[in-house]
Formats: sequence, structure tokens, C-alpha cells
Amino acid sequence: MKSDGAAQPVLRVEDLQVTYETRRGDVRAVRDVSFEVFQGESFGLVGESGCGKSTAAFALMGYLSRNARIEGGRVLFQGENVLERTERELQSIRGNSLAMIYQDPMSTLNPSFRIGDQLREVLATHTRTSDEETYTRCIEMLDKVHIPDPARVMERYPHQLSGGQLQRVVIGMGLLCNPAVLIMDEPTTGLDVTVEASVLDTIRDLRQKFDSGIVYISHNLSVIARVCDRVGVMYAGELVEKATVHDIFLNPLHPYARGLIGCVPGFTADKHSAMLCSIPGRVPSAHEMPPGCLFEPRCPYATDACKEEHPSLREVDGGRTVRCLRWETVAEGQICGTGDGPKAFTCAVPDYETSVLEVSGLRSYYRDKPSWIGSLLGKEEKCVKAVDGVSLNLKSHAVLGIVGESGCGKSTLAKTIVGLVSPTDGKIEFLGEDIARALEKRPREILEELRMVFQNPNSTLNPMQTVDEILGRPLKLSRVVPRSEIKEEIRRWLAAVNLDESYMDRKPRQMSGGEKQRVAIARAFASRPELVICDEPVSSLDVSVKCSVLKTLLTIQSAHGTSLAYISHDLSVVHFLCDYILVMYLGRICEAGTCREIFRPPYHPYTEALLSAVPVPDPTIHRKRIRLEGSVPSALNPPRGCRFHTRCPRKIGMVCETEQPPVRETKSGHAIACHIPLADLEAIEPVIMGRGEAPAESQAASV
Amino acid sequence: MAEIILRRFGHLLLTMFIVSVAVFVISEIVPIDVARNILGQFATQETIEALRERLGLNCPSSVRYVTWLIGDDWIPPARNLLGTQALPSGCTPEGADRKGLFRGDMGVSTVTGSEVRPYIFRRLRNSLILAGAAFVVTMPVALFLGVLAGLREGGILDRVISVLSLVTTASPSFALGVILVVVFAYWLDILPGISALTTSGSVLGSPEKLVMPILVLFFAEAGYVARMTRASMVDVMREPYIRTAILKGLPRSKVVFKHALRNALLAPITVIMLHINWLIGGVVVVEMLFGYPGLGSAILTASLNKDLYVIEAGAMVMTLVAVTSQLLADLLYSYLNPRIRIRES
Amino acid sequence: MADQPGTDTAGVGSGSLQPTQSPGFVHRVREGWRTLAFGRVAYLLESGVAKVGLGIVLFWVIIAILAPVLAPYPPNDTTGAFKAPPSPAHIMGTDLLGRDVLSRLLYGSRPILVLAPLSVLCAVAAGIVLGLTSGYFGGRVDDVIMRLLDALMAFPTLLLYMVIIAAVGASALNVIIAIAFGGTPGIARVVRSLVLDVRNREFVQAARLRGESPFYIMFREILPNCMGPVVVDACLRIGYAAFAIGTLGFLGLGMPPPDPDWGRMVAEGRQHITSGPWMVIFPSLAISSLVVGLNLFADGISESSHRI
Repeated sequence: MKSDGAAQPVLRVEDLQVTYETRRGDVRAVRDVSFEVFQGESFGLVGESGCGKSTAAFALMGYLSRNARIEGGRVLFQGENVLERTERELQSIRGNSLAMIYQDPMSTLNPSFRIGDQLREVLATHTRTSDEETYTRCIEMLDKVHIPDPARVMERYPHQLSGGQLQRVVIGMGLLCNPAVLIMDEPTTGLDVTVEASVLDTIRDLRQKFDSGIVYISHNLSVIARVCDRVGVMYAGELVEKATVHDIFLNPLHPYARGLIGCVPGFTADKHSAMLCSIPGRVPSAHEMPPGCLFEPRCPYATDACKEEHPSLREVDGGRTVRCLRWETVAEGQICGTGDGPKAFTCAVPDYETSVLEVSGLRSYYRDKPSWIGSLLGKEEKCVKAVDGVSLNLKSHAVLGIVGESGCGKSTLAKTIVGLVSPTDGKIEFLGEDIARALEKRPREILEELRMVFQNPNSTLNPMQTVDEILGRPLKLSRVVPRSEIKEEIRRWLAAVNLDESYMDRKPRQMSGGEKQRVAIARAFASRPELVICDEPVSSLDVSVKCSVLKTLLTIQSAHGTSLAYISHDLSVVHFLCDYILVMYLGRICEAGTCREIFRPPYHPYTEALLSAVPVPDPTIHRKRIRLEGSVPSALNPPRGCRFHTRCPRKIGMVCETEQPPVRETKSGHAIACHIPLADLEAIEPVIMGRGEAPAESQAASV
Repeated sequence: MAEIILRRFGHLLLTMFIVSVAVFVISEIVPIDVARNILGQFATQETIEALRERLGLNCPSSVRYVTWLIGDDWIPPARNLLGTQALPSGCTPEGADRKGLFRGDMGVSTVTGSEVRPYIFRRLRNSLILAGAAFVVTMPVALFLGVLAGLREGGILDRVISVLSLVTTASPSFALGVILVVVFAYWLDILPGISALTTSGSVLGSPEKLVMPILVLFFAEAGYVARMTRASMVDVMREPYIRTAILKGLPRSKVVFKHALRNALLAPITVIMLHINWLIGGVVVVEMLFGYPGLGSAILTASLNKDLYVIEAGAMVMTLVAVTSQLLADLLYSYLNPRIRIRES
Repeated sequence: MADQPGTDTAGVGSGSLQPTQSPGFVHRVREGWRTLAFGRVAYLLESGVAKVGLGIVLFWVIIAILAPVLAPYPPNDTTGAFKAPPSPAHIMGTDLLGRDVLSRLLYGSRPILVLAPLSVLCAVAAGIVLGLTSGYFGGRVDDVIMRLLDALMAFPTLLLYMVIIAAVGASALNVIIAIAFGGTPGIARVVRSLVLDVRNREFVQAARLRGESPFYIMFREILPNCMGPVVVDACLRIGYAAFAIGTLGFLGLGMPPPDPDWGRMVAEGRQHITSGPWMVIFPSLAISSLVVGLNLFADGISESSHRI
């Protein structure tokens, strides 16, 4: 990390205020944001959805939509106020000395032009280099962002590259003119964990090579912890705290920052040691802003003074700034979730004798037969082997976590167990009966015992029905309570998921994402099923909402003793929530064991890589750095032998390519499917090596 | 790409097949008494029966469908080979010499008695001239207006163009035509009004008579195309990659002409070609209004006169034109869109 | 001790906020208005364009209802000189048979205002059934239905009308049938693509998991979520239907004489545009305004519905 070079910041934002004009009135999206970025340093802007960080980011570029207006403030880039420049002046700095990249690279690049053309365009617009030199520079840049075979990539169209590669291309495009400031708006959102890790590595690496100032915007605290030097936390349009990365994570001063950091489960605690502490309430809507401190309605430290006075950003010892009247009290309090917070509550204890679900050799293939024309042209049947030989055993009252990245088949596994997809082969034994067939053929009593919570809160509820109808229907069908008591039961469920009775008449469009997901949870549990399968229920929610929904889920699960199968790509959530964990890769299970066993050696090489890649909200954590090359192979044509061999850093030889790995089991039932003998695996050092005092540099200990 | 072409072509064949069946069926369930039409209403029953026998009209429908398509000149030799019992009676019209639609024989008009094919093709040529000229005049103007409106979304120009487009395109073409004729020919007296173009001379002989029909088609079509283009333009300007282009520092003209247009015109170009179906209808109305000797008016007159073979042949030709243009539109879109043309590696 | 429901707590007091904040009074009234069935309509009509269109349509509806009262002469009777220009006795002149143009114009609004919605209603009913079945069951059923609809759509619309009416003759019922035939494939396609989209949504999966029957799923879960776009599309089609009825009348394929029909009025006066423009200009303006009004209304609604 470079120390502050020049005394003058290369970007300085002063009292920025941006307002949108909407049909319902004016919305103050950015109320008061001020920060500085020096050459060579990386400043992170953190906040949840609606906090105004994206608006602020675009304002930095002088790019605002037509219904936005600047109410006040300045954005000083290299000494000049960006907001006062003309369009032509802006054109000459954009892409040149002030560049921006954002998420979802597939839609960021023009699908009709080749990569090379879009890269060359930047240089052609801002520099006067010859065609040859332009080409060379582009190739060099693609090399610097670790794109293999850059010459071929230049000729490709965006849809021919993977997400991770595209994002790197976009980053490279931003750096082509060696900008003084590079703004990155959530560049790794939507990428797989391992891909995200390598893109983040690339970003860190680039910081060594270029001395651009970086403004990094994200809702993901853990990613910020890895990439940034200093952080600003935003809430409802204002900056509420500014500090170094170390200070913010280890001792946040603002109650919101505290709450936010407490929300993210790291790898230090699980449900037995401490409960997650969430932030009550929700972000105030634009038309109902509190008069005093904006966070006051949700603040555990609030006093009456907070209701009246709107605090300003004040400097506190150590060069930090905080927007809170009570920061000294806050500093003495505890961040919960780190083990010394509120006492843990009683979780359900798994019953090790009975299994509620036993799956053996399950296969679920999607077959795509070509039309007669296709077969005329010699096309073969395409077969996606989404789930290819999975066996698992879920004990009663236990929570099983199924972890994997996109394409590993975990969603298909869930859908097959639940019956939405017909299995191709294998056995699924549930409550003693074999249910390995499609939904329509299963007996009704079984249907009532097996429910699912889905991923997308926006489509999980029927938009035309009220909560009353949504919850009433499963109660009516399952007859767990007599008809006369259904209304009362609905009220009880709403209370159990922390929703007021007034929600009964609401329709989904009147609820937020978190509230909808709670109703979905209530709906799934209403018929008191034996097993509920959760397919990434919180992955699309904001950090604090995620936390409170998870809490609700865990509370209900413990209260009713329901068995849970929780599918996720987020290892830290799974670490917190689950008793057992399965790690899946390309349709097969690599490793299975209890939570403790999975997070310690012996590891499957894939698990090891995952653990190394998962972002953690702790900048001081020391970890081994293991990066996987390439991307997940297509399930249409999975590699022979061990499926992971194309990317495995611990590949031992030809045997990995030809033979399926045997399942090695320890005495306690921890199973790993690998050719490497168990003894060697046990001898591996743990990935998480402990915490240090200073933020960790990228460790060179790659295997 | 090959698979796409083959598949679309297969669709075309299938569609034409279904259409041919439909056309034939509809004209069969009709109490169109062809024989009576030919002989007039004073003919006696016996002469009608005799004519029906001679024309082979007593044959079962399915066989007549087949002979319509592939002719009946193969029947006598077939009978010689297989014996007279092989084929149903009443299926050997006198002088079995039709070659069938597939071989280009469209039969003889029951009203005029002359051959259908040259008539249809002459009319088709006229219609194509009219539609083609209108197309050439309308499209560039409409695309331009649509792009302009889309770029200035919400502005005055956009509102004016949008509303005008809606009004002209929604108005039935004959009404629009009447209004235009009244304005230009009656009131302002600039252009020739409606005067039936003679069928013998070429329509290109007196080109000033084409101006009004083309003008009517222009107003009817331009509005629709302009609105489509505008909508496409608005959508594209909202796409993230346009934002990328702006934030790369590209001048606005480049952003629009290079990045936006390429994608914005993709949809309208194909919609234009798919709109041919509608255009054909619009052409019919214009033909009727101005007495233009085109294919549409031919089919219409035939419908009103119950001229069976003209209806059948005309319907098939017109549908073939429509379906072929849809096929071309599809292929054009698949070619222009890299996401379809080049599949993921 | 399990967490008490209703106190989403971090330990110390949870501030001044209840788990859910009850919205202010004004806000609640506005929401209530909006969620009422016709409150939705009011919201949709926020578009100025829709209001203008609705105004024009309502104008003609009133005319159609009050035609017997407003018309100075019976529409089918010869009441004046042949082809007489406008005069105080006949405000819009007379046609070739001496019938008063104004009266024929007023009465001519009736058939079109009755037939257009009726034919669209038939098309919508048929389209919903076909689209639902095709979209929900998929597979072979879907293929077959789609092929047939494709073939139907491949017919240039006017040609389709010509062939059908040539076959079965011209009458009000046949016009309805012809237009319904022409409109069904389009609506079926719209319904089908909506069904395909909604079918994969998670609340439908949840219904399947409960073991609901296909009928319940199709009609109680899927269909209500499709109706919005279908209604908007139907409004647009009423405009097209009016357009078609006018054109059919013009081409002589509409309803038989002597009842007044705007399209046929134009056709009858066609040869005399320059010598007797009043016979054709008024019906042309009438039908243009009605069809434009219908389209403006449908367009305005469609814009508003996209903004909801």
C-alpha cells in the first residue's frame, strides 16, 4: 500500500447534495457527502441499497439523469469543480483521467461490437497514438488484467466471454489511459466467490502497478475490507462515519456502522455461541425522514436529544469522523456477534439417530433433444448433468448446508428433492418413503411435510393476493388447525416473523424485499412440515435485512424443530447457521461433514480454495492465498475422472483425470472425495491462519 | 446458422401447406357453385350436372385438393396402368390437362374464361411496383423521424412526432386517402384525383397517377415505423452500454451513431419486414380507392364474384410473398445480431 | 430463552420504532384509492393522451345512443335531391340516392361501436383459452397450437377477411367471426408468453408444491397476473377492429346495404370525390376520429401501465 504521495488529494468531494424530482415529489438522494481520495490510495464507500452511493458515484463523473439536480457542494477533481464543467470539458476527462466501471459487465459492453473495437475506442478518443501502438497497448492491458490469450479475446464479442473475464476487460478498459482516479461501482457483484477473489486480486495487483486513486463502492463490507485503505459509511444519503479500514472494522463508532458490521457473520462465531444482532426497523422512505438524526428511530443508543438535533460530521481522535452525538458511549459498548455479545439462545439439537431425508445416487439430467432438422444436420442430444451422483443424509432437527458456486447443481438438487424436477436416477427416502419421482405422483401427506423457501423475494409471492390469502391457503389445505382458527393462526405466524397484524391486508407490492421473504418463510412453515428446503433465501437482500431474516429463520426452525436444508454460495452464513455442510462442485459432492470439520483440515482442495476466496469482514485476517485458474467447466461436458481436476491446485497426476475419486471417511463421518490420501490432507495447514494487528498484505503463500 | 436457415425454411413449407389446406377448405365449404356461375342462373339442372361432371367437380374433396396442387394430367395414364377402378369416379374431367399449382398452372377463371396465371402475375407486378415505391419513400423518412423522436424523448419534437404518427397510422387508409385527395385534388388542385388506371398500359406509363397512392401509403406506414423506431431508440438509450460509452468520454454524436443506432435499428428493421402482412392489406385498400390494378384488388373482385380459381391462386401467391418476407426478416435479424450469429464458444 | 417475537432487539431499548411503522393518514387514503378496482383505472388515466382518446370515444358513444333523437331524417329514406351539396336543410348534403348524409353518419356510428368490442371480446376469450393451455402444458400441445396460430398469422389479415367473407357471405355475425379469427392468434401469443413467464415464478412453484390442481394454478394463480397486459392489448385491438370494420365496409365486405356503414358510404361515393366531396369526407373524418380516439386511449393506458 502506498503512503500518501502528494499533499493534495486528487479528488475532493465537499458537501455534495443531489436531489431527484419524481412524480411523488423531491427525493434527496445524497444529503451531505464529503471525502477525499489521495493518489495511490483506495477509498471505499459502503452502504445498503438506497443510501445514495451510486448517485454520488455518478455525480463524481458529472453524469446525472435528467431529473436530478445538484443542490449544493463541489466535486474537486485535480483542483477543478467537475460539476461546473461543460459537456465538452467533461468528455475530455471522462475515460481519460477520470474513469468509471460498474457491475454487470455483460450489459456494460455493447453486444454488437468486438472487445478489441471497444478497447481501441478509448485510446482513439483520448490519445493520438498510431493504430499499431493502440493495438499493442490494448494487448498489454489485457495481459495486465490476467486475460489469457489476449489476441483472440480482442476479436471476440462480449457474449463469448465469461463474467469474470468480462469484468477484467472492463477494468482494463478503465485503466487504459492511466487515469488519476478510477471509480468502481460494485464491480464484483454477481460474480462467483472464486472468480470474485481473483478479480479482487487483480485489482490489488493493479494498485501496485498504477498509482490511480480508487473510489470503491460496494454494499459488501467484506470486499471493502480486502481492497480499501479508508472507508466511508453511508446511510440514507449521508456519510455517517469515515475511518481507516482497520478502525472501522475493529471499533466502529457510529451505531449504524456497528450494527452493519455485527450483521455479517465471520468465521469466528456460530449459532451456538452467539446470535446475530440485527438492526431493527427499516430505512426511512424518502418522504418520511425523521427530523433529527436519520438513524435515531432504529438506534439502540438514541436519546431525546437525538430526535431533535441533526448531528453533523465531527472529527474524533485519530483522524476519524463520525456523525453521532453519542459516539463516546458507543465506543464503550460491544459489537455483538463476536462472541461476547448477547447470550446465545437455544438452538434445536439434531437427533443423531433418525434421518428425515436420505438420498443415494441421485442423478438429475436435463436432456435437450435436437429437433428433426437438428438431427438431420448431425446434432446430438445435449445432456446437462446438473446433479450426477449425490448422496446425503439429513438428521432430524438438523440444519444442513449445501454450498457451491453457480453451476454446481445445488438448485437442481433442491428442486429434485422437492419434486419440481423429475430425477433421472437414484433414491430419495423421506420419512421412510421413496419419493424419487415428480411432484404430481407423490402422496399428499408427503407433500405437506416438505416445503421450500425460494430465492427471489419479488416473485415468491403472488402479486395479486393479500398476505391473508397467501398464508391462509396452505393452512386451509393442510388442516393443521380447524377452519375457525385460521385467522388467529395467521396472526401468530405474522408475529413469529416480526410483522405487524396490519400486514394481513397488504399485497406484495406494498412490502419490502425482507418483509416479502418473511411472509414466504411463514408460508413454508405454516403447515408445520418436517423438512424445509431454503434455496438462497437471503442472497438478494441487503446486509442488515439479510441478517434479520436469517435470525427469523433460525428462531422459527429452533422453535419447531424443523429440519432445514439451506442452500447458499455464502460460506460465512452457512458457517453460522448449519450443523452439517455439503460442498458441491459440478454436480458431485466433494466434501461432507459437520460444520467444525469442514472449516478445518483435512480439506478437499476445492473447499480449501473456497475458504481462501470468501471475503471476510476482517481486514486483519491472515489467510493462505489459493486461486483457481479458469472458470467452472460446462455441465454439458464435464471433465472425466475427478471433475475438479482442470482447476485443482493439488492435482497429483493422471489418476485425477481418468478415475473418479474415492470417498475417504474419517471415523466421525467426515467424508472427502479425493485421490489424495487422508493423511496428506490432514497435514495441510489451515487456510485461516489467525488475525494480525495490521491489515494483511496479500500473502504469497500460494500452493 | 445453417440450422436456423433450414428450420425457418421448414416452417415456411409447413405454413404454406397449412395455408393451402385452409384456402382450399374455405373455398370448398362455400356454396360456390362454380358451374352455375359459369352457365348463369338460368341454366337447367342437367346442364349444370353435365358441366360439373366435365369439370370434375363431383370428385371427393381430398382428391380435388391433390389435383389442385399437382394437376390431373397424370390421371389417364394412371388409369391405364392401374385400371379404371383405381381412382374414384367423377374425377376425370374432360381434357384432363391441368398441371397443378406446383407446376405453375393456376387454372382458368370461371368468370372471364382467361388464364389465371398471367393475370395474377401482371397484377402482382403492379402491386410490387406500388409497394416498392412506397417502401423506398417511406422507410428512410420514418426511420429518421423515429430516431429523432427517440433521442429527444419527452421533448416537444418527440411529442409532436409521436402524436402525429399515431394519428396517421391509426386512421384507416381509405379515410386518410379520401382526406388527402379532397385536400390535394379538390381543394388545392395540385395532384390528379382518382382516375382509373387502364389495365392494358403499364402503370409506369403515367407516373403522376402513382403519386397519390404512394402518398397515402406513406402516411399510413410512416407513423407506425416511426413509433417503433422511437420506442427502440428510447430503450437502447437507456441501456448500460450507452452509459459506458458516454463515460468513456465519447462525443455524443459518436455515442448515438456508432453505439446506439446499430442496436436500435435492429428491431425496427425486422419489424418492418414483418409488417409486410399489414402493408399488403393497406395496399389493397389503396388499390381499391384509386382503381389501381393490383393483386389485392384482383383477389377482392374475385371474392365478390366468387371466381374460385383466382381466389385460390391469388391467396396462395399473396401468402407466399408474405411468408417469404418474414423468412428473410428472420434471417436478416439472425445475421445482424452477433448473439445469434456467433454462438458461445 | 428464545427471542421474543415482536422485539427485534440488540439488547438495549429498540428506539422509538415499532416493528412496522404505520403510514400517515393522507398516505393511507391515497393508497386506498389506488388499490380500489377503479382507483387503478383512475391511476391509469393519468396520461393526458388517454384522456383525450377516451373523450373522443365517449363522444361517439353518446352520438350512437342518441342517434334517433339527433338525426333530422330517417337514414335510409330519400329525403332530398340526389347528390346535393350541403345546405340548411341537409347540413352535410345528400348522397347518390338522396339520403341525408348527416343522419346516415349518426346512425353509422352504431354498428361499429357494437361490433368492434364484441369481436375483440370473442378474440380475447378464445385467445386466453388457447394461450393458457399452450403456455401451461407446453410440449406437444404447445407445438400444435402454435403452428396453427402461426399459419393463421401468416395470412395477411385483410386477405384472411376476404377469403372468409367470400366464403360465408357478408353479415354482422360473419364480420365478428372474421375479426375474431384475425385477432385470436395475436392475443393467444401475448397470453402464452405471459403464461410462460409467470409459470416459472416462484409463487407458482409454491402452489405446485402444495399439490394444487392444474386448473387452480392456471386460473387462480397465473391468469390474474396476466390480465393487466391482456386488457391493455384488448383495448388496442378494439381500435384495430374498428379500423378493420371500416375497411371491410369500404371494400364491400362489410354489412349488407342499405343500413348506413361509414366504410361503405365512402365506397359508394368513391367515384365522385372531386365532384361531391361531402359524401365521402364526413364519413372519413368520422371513422378516422373514432379509430384515432380508440388508439390514443389504448396507447395512453399502455404507457401508464408501464410506469406502474
